[in-house]
This record gives sequence, C-alpha cells and structure tokens, in this order.
Amino acid sequence: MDFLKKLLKLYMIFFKVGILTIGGGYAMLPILERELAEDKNLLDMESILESYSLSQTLPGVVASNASTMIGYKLYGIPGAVAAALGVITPSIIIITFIAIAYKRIGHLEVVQKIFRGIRVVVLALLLDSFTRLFKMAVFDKKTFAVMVLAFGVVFFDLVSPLLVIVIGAFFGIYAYRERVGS
Amino acid sequence: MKLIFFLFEFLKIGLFTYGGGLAMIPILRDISIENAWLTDSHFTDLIAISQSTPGPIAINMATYIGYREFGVLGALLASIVIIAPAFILAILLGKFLSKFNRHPAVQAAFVGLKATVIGLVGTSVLQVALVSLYHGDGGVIYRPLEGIDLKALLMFGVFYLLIRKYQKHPLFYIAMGGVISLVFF
Repeated sequence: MDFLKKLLKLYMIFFKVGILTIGGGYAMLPILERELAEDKNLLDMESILESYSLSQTLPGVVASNASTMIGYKLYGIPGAVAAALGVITPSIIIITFIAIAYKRIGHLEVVQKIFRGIRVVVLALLLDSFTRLFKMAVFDKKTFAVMVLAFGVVFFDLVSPLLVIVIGAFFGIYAYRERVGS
Repeated sequence: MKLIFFLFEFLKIGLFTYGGGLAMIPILRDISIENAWLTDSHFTDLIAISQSTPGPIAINMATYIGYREFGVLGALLASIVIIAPAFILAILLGKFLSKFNRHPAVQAAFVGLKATVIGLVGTSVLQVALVSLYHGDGGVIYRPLEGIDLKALLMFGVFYLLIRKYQKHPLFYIAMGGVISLVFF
C-alpha cells in the first residue's frame, strides 16, 4: 500500500513535469530539478543530470526516456512505468481536445488565417534549430557529405528516413571508429 | 488490422529515431503523407500545435495523429507505443548505458547519426518553406519563384532575425505570428 502511494506520487510529479515541459526536452531539466531535488528531495541534481544525458543517447522521445530512467532509479520497473506514463498523460489529454477542436473549427477562414502566419513562424523556428544543430554535428567533409546525402535521398523520396538513419549510424562506425577510439 | 499496422509504424519510429522531437518531425511527416493521414499544410499546423502546448513534441504529434485516425484509443496507443521501445531499452541497458555510450563504436555511430538527422531536419525546413511561403497549395521545388508570397517571405525574415537575436520560447513567437497574421494577412 505504501509502495502504491509512492508510485502514485511519482506519477503525479511526472504528470506535472509533462504539463510544464512546453516544446520539448531541454525545457524539462530545470523542472525536474525543482520537482525532484529541491521540493521532494528524492534525487540529487547529479543523478538527474546523469539520467537526462544518458536518455539522450537512447532512441525515441528524450523526455519520456529521462522519466523512465529516473523512475527506474527510484522504484525499479513499477517506478519506470509510473514516471513514463505520468509524463505523457497531459499530452494525451490536451492534444486530444485540440484535435477535436481543430476538426470542428480548423476549416474556418479565421482559423486558417491565423495558421498561415503561424506556419511562417514554424519555418523560422525550424531553420533556427537546424542552424544550431548543424554547428554541433557537422564538423568536417564527411559529416557534411552525410548530411547532404541524407537530405537528398529523403527529400526526393528515394529512401525511407528510418533506413537512412540506420545507414547513417553504420557509416559513422565505419568512418569514425579509429578517430573516436584513439 | 489497420490499427496494428498503424501502431507498428509508431513502434518503428520509437525504435529508430534518434535525437528527440526535432528528429521525429521529418519521419512522422514522411509516414503521415505516405499514408494520407495528414496533408502538408495540416502537418505544419501540427508542428506549431505540438511546440506550443504542454508535453514533449513527439508525444503531442503521436497523440494528434492517433486521434485523427482511431479516436481516443488511437491517441492513447500511439503515444504509448512510440515510447515503448526506448522504455524497454532503458530498463535493459540501464546500468550499462554509460559504459555502452563510451564504447568507440557507439561514439562513432553517434557521429554518423547526428549528421544524418541534420539532413532529415533540413528536409523538414524545405518542406515547411514550400507550404508556408507560397500562395494556395504551396510551392514546387523546381520553380521556386512561382507563386511566392512576398508578405510571408518578409514576415519569415523578420521572425528569423528576432528568434536568432532573442531566443525566447517558441510559444511566444507562434502566438505573435498568429496575431500578426490575423491583422495583416
């Protein structure tokens, strides 16, 4: 019973983290710190940071990976389930309502007008993310070539993006194994 | 049967996408367009919605597409399925993960992965540009000047500079864009 209470509390903590993380992974770190380290004293900041950085190396959604790892660290597999479900619950509720609303009013001229401008902003935001990621990941001729090739084959629908990702990883192993290892 | 196929797509995304929400955008777009779940402009709206509402972007997108295709059950299952592969990996690898990550082959794979993901994000940038900077049904890559919307182009330039300069939360710019568009477009 006590354990169930703890799990429920963990679920609620991550539910809150899910609500407060607007726009993705990086926004969640300060919230995790406040909710787990400062207020509840469940984990120290160092373990939170470690889980967070490790979770970025797993596939999938960074926010739920970090939650899974922290939950697992605290209460094992039940903890991992509670934390992961907690962090995705707000999205499921909120987005379902938005999807219902969009279905009803999305075709209205005024909504379309608002979204026309929003789409332009989305483009500017994406380009900004792209340039920042570019500086981090493209640092020589080979990485530049990989980027251009991945872009070309996916944009012109020659290869599925998932396959391209797998090929990119193998190319990395082939081309950089010696360099990173030494 | 259709639901199983649908969920299998999300399972694949959850297993093979590396780099979080931003990397998921081109992949989700690819499968959404291919399966005729969403149109290009609707997908761009979804990016905006996902960036400006609570929760991780990828979960928001999975929930939305899941709801469109299979209602509340679809929303719930798509979101759970997309996190499931990494959930299992996190528990299996948990203790070894930091060691695993330091392995030279894994490090080298990440170098290739990151460069690939940038290329994929680049395709999203171009596709969103074709939707947002053109009149009507969008632009065509082979004829870049045809049907271009100069007002949108100007707005894009201004917003890009503002974003680079101030780095405020995306929600702020999205809300501003909506208001400007309502008044001036």
